[in-house]
Amino acid sequence: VLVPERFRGKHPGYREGFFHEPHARPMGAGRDLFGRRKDGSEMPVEIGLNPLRTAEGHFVLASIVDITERKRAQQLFRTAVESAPNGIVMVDAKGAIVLVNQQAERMFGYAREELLGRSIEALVPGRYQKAHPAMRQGFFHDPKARPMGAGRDLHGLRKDNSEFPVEIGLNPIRTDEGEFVLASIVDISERKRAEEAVRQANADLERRVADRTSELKQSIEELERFTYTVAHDLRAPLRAVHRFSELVAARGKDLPPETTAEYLGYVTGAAKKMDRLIEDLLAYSKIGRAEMKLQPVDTGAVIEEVLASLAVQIQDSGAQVRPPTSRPPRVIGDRFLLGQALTNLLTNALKFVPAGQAPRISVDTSVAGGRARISIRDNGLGIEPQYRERIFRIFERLQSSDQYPGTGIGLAIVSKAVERMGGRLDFTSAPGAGSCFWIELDEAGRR
Amino acid sequence: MSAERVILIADDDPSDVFFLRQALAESCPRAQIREVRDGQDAVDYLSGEGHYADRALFPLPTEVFLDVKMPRRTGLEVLKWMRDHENFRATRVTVLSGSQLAGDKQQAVLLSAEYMVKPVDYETLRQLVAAYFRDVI
Repeated sequence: VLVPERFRGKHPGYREGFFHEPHARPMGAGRDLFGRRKDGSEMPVEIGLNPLRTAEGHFVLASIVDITERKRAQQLFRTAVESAPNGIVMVDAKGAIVLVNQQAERMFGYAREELLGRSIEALVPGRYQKAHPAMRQGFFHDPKARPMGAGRDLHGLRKDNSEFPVEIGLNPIRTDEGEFVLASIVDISERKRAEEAVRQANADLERRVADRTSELKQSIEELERFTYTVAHDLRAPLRAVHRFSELVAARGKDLPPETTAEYLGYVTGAAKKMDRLIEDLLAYSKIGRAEMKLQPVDTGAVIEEVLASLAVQIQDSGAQVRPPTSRPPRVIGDRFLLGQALTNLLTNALKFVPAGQAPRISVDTSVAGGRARISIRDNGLGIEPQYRERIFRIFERLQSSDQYPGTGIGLAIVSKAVERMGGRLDFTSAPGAGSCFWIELDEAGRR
Repeated sequence: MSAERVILIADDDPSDVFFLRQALAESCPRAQIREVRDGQDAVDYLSGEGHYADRALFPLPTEVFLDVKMPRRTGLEVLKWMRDHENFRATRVTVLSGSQLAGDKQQAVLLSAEYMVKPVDYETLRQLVAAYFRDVI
């Protein structure tokens, strides 16, 4: 009468079985047992069975515990564990997994039944596996709630052998069945990724700042050198103006008139020189800052224009200038910058010839491998190899200015113009054998 | 000693050379003065290359004035060349510059040379050169 109706059918058979082999044992071996109240309601129970042998025959003493409360607590615990946002794994003192929640299944990629009963070390990456059991035992030795791994980076091992960074909190649980550890696991991949992104962004930023700083330092150094050079070269004519004026003012009365005139000639010459320096400086600065439009440029047309603009100088120097014999290519460049560069190269070719010699200049173009080259060959003084680098610097001169007047800016302008167009400027030369300067630019696609 | 004094000026600016000659002549009228127009010329003169081989016309200098910024070789390069050659290791050298640059001065001093910024006016130049000759006595 105390057994719910659905079990009544089988119960007498079990009872017979017990009497057949009577010893003290819990009833129901793993099954959930229920008792039936008088009002027909059921309750979960635990039943211990003890055989009693008396003179009056065999009896069974059944001790019955109502486990409704316990069952409810268990259910509550299970629900709490299941609905926790963290992965939860409970292991026993031997490290066997006795409980996992859905989050843990998902995190590690296992099904629940694959994990239950398995050693917790299955979820620990290989390199930590050896040390893990000792640490686990250490925890059971002094069990208190604490984060795992104190300061170290922890990783979980998925079923597919991939790893992910985790944070783990450990809680000891003491039950009638012994001691357990409840591990609450948080997958911190996202946080790590975000941290890494921030770190990366910081590193990038720092690198950019460093790059920019060194660029700035370089341009400040360049500016300093430039300023120094400008000051140096502008001062030279200023000294001449000052000193010759001083001389005339102090001794003018005693000087023959032609000497005074000569000195005053130096003064005006120096003033003119200063004016030309300033003019060239502005030209140089303009080349550096002029708005540039890189587009297809017909080099033939630019060469023609430049030669036309130099017609007077060509005629005065008695030069022979041969324009390109083949059809000049179109290049990617800026018309103004290219014109300036070619003008200066041609001016140099006209100027730097031994005294009494007529310049012979040829302008040629060629194309190879997508690059076009404009070369200007002269029969001039030539350049010794040791000055190769120096000639492109501002205010650098290889000749004294009374023989070959100039400010030393021409090639600096060419160099800057070509650099801005992404081209290359170079030359071959030998003293006495003339020079050949060329500009190389990207060839523009055919029309 | 001062009768055998030979001063070599290496400077590409003709008016600077004119005034330096003048100042030198005022302070030390008996000195022989020779001039070259760039750094390479200075080296050629010192080593007796080409027509400079004639030491009657181009005597070895007892002291040298070198402009820093010259065509072909700078004054500091010439100075370095001199200190690398036994004959000129102890020659008195004055490096002249149009404007003061710390690095230039330091290099000159390291190579045991004097350093002089060219003054804009002649009077200051005259005083500097006079002081230069007082220093040597």
